[in-house]
Amino acid sequence: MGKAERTDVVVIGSGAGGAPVAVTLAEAGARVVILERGQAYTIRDFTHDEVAVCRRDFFVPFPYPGHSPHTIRKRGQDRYHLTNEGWVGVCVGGGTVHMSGFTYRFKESDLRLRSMTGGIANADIADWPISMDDLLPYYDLYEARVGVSGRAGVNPFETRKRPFPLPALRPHPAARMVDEAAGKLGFHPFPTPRAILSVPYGGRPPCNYCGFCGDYGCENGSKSSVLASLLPQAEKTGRCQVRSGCMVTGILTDDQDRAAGVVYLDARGEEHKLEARVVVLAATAIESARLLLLSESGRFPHGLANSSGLVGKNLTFSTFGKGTAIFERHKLEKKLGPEGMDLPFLLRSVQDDYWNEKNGLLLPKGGTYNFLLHHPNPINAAVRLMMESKWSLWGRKLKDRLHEYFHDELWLEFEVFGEFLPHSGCYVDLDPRVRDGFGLPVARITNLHHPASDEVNKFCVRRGMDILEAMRPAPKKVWPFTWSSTTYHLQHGTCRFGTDPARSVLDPDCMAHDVRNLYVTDGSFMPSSGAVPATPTIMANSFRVAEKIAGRFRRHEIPA
Amino acid sequence: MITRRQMILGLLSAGGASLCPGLLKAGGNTLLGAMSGWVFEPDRLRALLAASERILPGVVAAGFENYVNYWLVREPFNRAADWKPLLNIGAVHLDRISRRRYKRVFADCKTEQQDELLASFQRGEIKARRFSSDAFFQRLAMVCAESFLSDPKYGGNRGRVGWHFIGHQACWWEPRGKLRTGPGVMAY
Repeated sequence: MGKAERTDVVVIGSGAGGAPVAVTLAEAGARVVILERGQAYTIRDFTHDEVAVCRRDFFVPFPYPGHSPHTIRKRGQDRYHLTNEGWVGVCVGGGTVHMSGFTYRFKESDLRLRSMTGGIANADIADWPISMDDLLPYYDLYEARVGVSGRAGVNPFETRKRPFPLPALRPHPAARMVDEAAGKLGFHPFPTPRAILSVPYGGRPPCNYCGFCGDYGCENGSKSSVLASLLPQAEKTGRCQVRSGCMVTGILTDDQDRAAGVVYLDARGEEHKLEARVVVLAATAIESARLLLLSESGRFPHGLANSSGLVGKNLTFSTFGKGTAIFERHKLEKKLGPEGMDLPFLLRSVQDDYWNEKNGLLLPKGGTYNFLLHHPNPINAAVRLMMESKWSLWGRKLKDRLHEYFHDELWLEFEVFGEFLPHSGCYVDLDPRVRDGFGLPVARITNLHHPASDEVNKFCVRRGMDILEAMRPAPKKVWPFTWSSTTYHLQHGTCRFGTDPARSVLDPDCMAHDVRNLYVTDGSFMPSSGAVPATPTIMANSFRVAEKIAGRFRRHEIPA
Repeated sequence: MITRRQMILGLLSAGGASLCPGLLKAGGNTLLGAMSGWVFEPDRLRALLAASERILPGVVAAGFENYVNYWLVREPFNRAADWKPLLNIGAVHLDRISRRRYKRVFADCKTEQQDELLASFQRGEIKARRFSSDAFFQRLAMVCAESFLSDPKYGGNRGRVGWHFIGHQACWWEPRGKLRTGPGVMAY
């Protein structure tokens, strides 16, 4: 290890949790170093190569021992096996680089789940120690800084007082069919807000409507990833440095239990010590918990900031369901006209069931229905057709079916994002047997669902199916594709925040109860998962925490 | 830290060879073979080509051989690391069963016979130790789809024949392709 280097703030992870803190503090005058274990890509590295990006998992590591696997045990399994699930996006910009960018906000019922339900058997839910009013201005700030498009005032259940910074993207004409069908059934469909530019913004060009958002990096710079938006802004201050290929292996503390810096390995495998006045951990809920558990010492025998024993517990993902309808293109064109039939976005969502006391289930909640068109990936479409025929579709029949799919079909789907209840059966700890390429124990994920979240998800898929079936012209086929499954790259809860140090890891400002000046700003802080993708909430909270840290710097509360 | 590239090279030289020691020699004969670890022996390849043509007609003319021989284990492969050995063993079983049923290797059978054989593979009816015929069938079908519809740089979608087949309504995935309608201009 060379001579220790010093900086004001070190941020571990360059994604949704890390970038807002980094840019805010760098602009406030602090020297910031971001350590990112993944590579730094530019938009030139982003192509529509389905084999490289999707079928060989471009953005996540290999699931082999000695590289960077996770191990996992799911429902119905009795053993752990190697996987790359649980990784979000291992690159500069993190998961925001390949996200679809559905930017819904949380609602009061997400923050007050415990008091509104009075508790749910076997679920460890807690109210958030902050209110929606604490978050609202930071949602606005987030949207303005990265560029979010949408239309306010349509969704009667929205959590916002101000318009979107950018107008909504242009939807596929079939959006009209969703509006009609959902409206007929008493729902209130609204344009899905997206972290995608509809008009030029901040020196970036608007979307070219190629449709390759989810899973792909945007080669146009129009998707509002932190790689396209916040990180360049941070680097422009001249005080923020992003170091890629740098794996943090431990967090250092001083003799007064304050965070003092980190130890990391650079891309060549050389170990460095970086001293800092503030350490911000934002490496995803799973990897942040792992790093805290790995940073054990004499003073912290069960892992750093873990006197409550809750680091890694209460892991939540997002429950996922999906239904599909097949429409005949020529019938659609008759109704909707030929104009715009190639547009990739449907951009319709429904949140009427978000809070639903009439569903008669243990959890009086539903979720968000997001209507969208089938991803343009051609290989995936072909494999899905074969798979759904149980592989009996091959030969001439397959060729004909492919032709039909691509020439005269439009697959319209909905996804359900649902509350994933925290409970004792879903957590992350260190795998006692498997080590990664750095010789460190890998994260071991246990994911058994709480029956109440599964039940609700099933209910939601049925409700979404009602809308698909009510659409006109009638679909030629409608079926529920999946329900009660898990979206692994939406992850939260492993260092929940709260006021009681015995029942939470972080304080309401996301600083560790046990270790001063150690902050965690990825999804780890969230005591409940909410029923929308949490990326905007993570980023809003990260901006909120950044201002708290900046305030402490200004008041000289953080020793030099 | 092991980079993706080091990992691949490591697997190609060590893993690839140890998985199929007999094939290393065949692969070592050509530059491409050396780069991709190993290529299929001619007999195995013949069986695989015949089977893939039955699964997705047109895939062989589009360059399936390139894809399966040279690209399948090259960067970026990740999940495909164990595919090639499975295809190889599957090819052995294809010939074994067709010799037993029709007294000739799979590639020399009539197309109806080939289809019948493949159907039994697909239904998982072929029993052998540590071999699951339906898994082999599914993997081969998946590789057919990949080769036919992937970027032509992988060799399996020669002249973009796969993309032409599925039409250009949805051409927006093709770099530098034309976008028929829509408000934006392709930025490629």
